Amino acid sequence: MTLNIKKTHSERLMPLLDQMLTESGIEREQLGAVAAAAGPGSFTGLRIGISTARALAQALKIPALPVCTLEALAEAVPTPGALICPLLDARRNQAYTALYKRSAEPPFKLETLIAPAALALDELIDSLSGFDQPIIFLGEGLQTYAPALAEKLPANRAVLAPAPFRLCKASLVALCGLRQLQENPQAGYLEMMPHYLRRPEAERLADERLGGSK
Amino acid sequence: MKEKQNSAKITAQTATGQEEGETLILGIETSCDETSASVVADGRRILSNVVSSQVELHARYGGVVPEIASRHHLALINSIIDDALDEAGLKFSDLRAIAVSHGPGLVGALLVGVATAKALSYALRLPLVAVNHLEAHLYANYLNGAPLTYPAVILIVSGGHTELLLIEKAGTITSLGRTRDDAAGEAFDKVARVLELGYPGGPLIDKLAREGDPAAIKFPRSWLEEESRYDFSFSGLKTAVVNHLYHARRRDEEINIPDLVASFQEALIDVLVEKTVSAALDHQALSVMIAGGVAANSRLRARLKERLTKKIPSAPLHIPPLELCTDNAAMIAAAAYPLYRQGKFAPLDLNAHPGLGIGARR
Ligand SMILES: [Zn+2]
Repeated sequence: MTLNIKKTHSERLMPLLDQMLTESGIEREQLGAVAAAAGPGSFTGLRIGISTARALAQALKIPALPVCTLEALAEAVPTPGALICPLLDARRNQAYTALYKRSAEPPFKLETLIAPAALALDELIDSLSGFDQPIIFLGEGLQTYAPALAEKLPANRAVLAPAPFRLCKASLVALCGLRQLQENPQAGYLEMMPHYLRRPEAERLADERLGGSK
Repeated sequence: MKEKQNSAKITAQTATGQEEGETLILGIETSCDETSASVVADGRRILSNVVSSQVELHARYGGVVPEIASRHHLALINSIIDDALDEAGLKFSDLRAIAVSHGPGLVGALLVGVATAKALSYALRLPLVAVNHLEAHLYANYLNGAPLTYPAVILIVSGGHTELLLIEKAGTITSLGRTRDDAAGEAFDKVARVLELGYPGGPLIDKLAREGDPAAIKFPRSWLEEESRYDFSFSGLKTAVVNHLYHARRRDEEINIPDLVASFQEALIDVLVEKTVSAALDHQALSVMIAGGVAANSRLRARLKERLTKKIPSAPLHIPPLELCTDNAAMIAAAAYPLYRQGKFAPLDLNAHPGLGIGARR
């Protein structure tokens, strides 16, 4: 279930989980694993999701799977051979982004061409210039960056996904989690951490003051 | 990610084993820079109290950095919960409730504890109890086996709070006053930072001040107007210290650091002591308690004891052991016990409340 509304994640998440289980007639003890979007994303939002998932896994004694938010977004595009570029607004004129290619051969897995990072739009467009097929852009970052992408990339190169494909859906996170579970059936709650991609601002500033030394 | 080596771990007065018919509550505390989990039986007997302090992580910044605190709470909380159960020799199925402090504190830090507690309570089908962190501080005394006699006046002083509370009778707690700007511990930290003494400032200044003359420099005492005579303000004192330093340096005077910190500390403690004593007199207190990290200050303890003995000898001073004075989850589990008994449970949409006041229940 995916909701995108005003009330805080902290207030919504557990009632939503409860409602979802109740409506699907599943007891909490029946859950076999828990996956959560690990980021990138808002630090506080990620921590609410990961804290919840870690504690569920700890209490239910089940595996916990941290899923890359960008990969979960890319998972929505099943087309063999497609180049997929998810975008999330990272503020400070940057986007959290990555580039994936859906393999043209079975089992049509996602391959990472550009690893998740916080990039300025110009940096991103630079690193995309080496690819000569159309790129599918999706994710909430399009709200901010769609006009600039349309302006800076030739019309035959950029496909801007329509609104329903812009949100990261929990079902896609679960799908990615299931795949991870097959590779790592022992994934434990203690190892599940957010992918912040950015250091705390205070730490960065302090290091800068000290001339980059730790 | 194992980050526990960064932090000192303390275990307070651990008893072992569960006794027949006891109510075991798991407490979770993440409101500032201490990550803690504890199991307490019947709100009185500590079975385990695991505390991981992040003091060293924040030392280079001279104060707690909220984003860094939140990240470390998340990295540590679940293994600390495991440790708390292990040390008590218990399993999740032995517990009756999950308790968490939901405010006041740093919102990002509180959210880690709140989300963790809600998910545990849901998965384990255990009631969730939301505890006011400030009110929980006074439960350190129950854990210490020395219940307060009422009316009681309580001074909570730490890096996060300066709060004067009154308990008229069991269960009725009101706030008499609080700081308008810096918390007492924050004032110690800021002065220590200006003098480049290190962090945290409290213990360093306490030690240095023993070699200084508390009457050497006359720093201002902020008593505030009559209507808010139990409120505190320490930012003017901090500014006075900064100005004193500035002028001394401009005149090329030798600065006697022990005299300077002793005089600063005396000005701050004078205000804490006099306001606490007059609150105790006004409300005919039968006991007085101090808690919070600054309760470790040797001068504060000595001066408060001396003034109380003189002005109101019938009110004994209660000072819990330091590991129960500073933030810990045992006090959360203890404070949850009466709420559990009254069936006051929190819903699944419980949120963190960084500015939660005394007596406020959500
Ligand atoms: Zn506290």
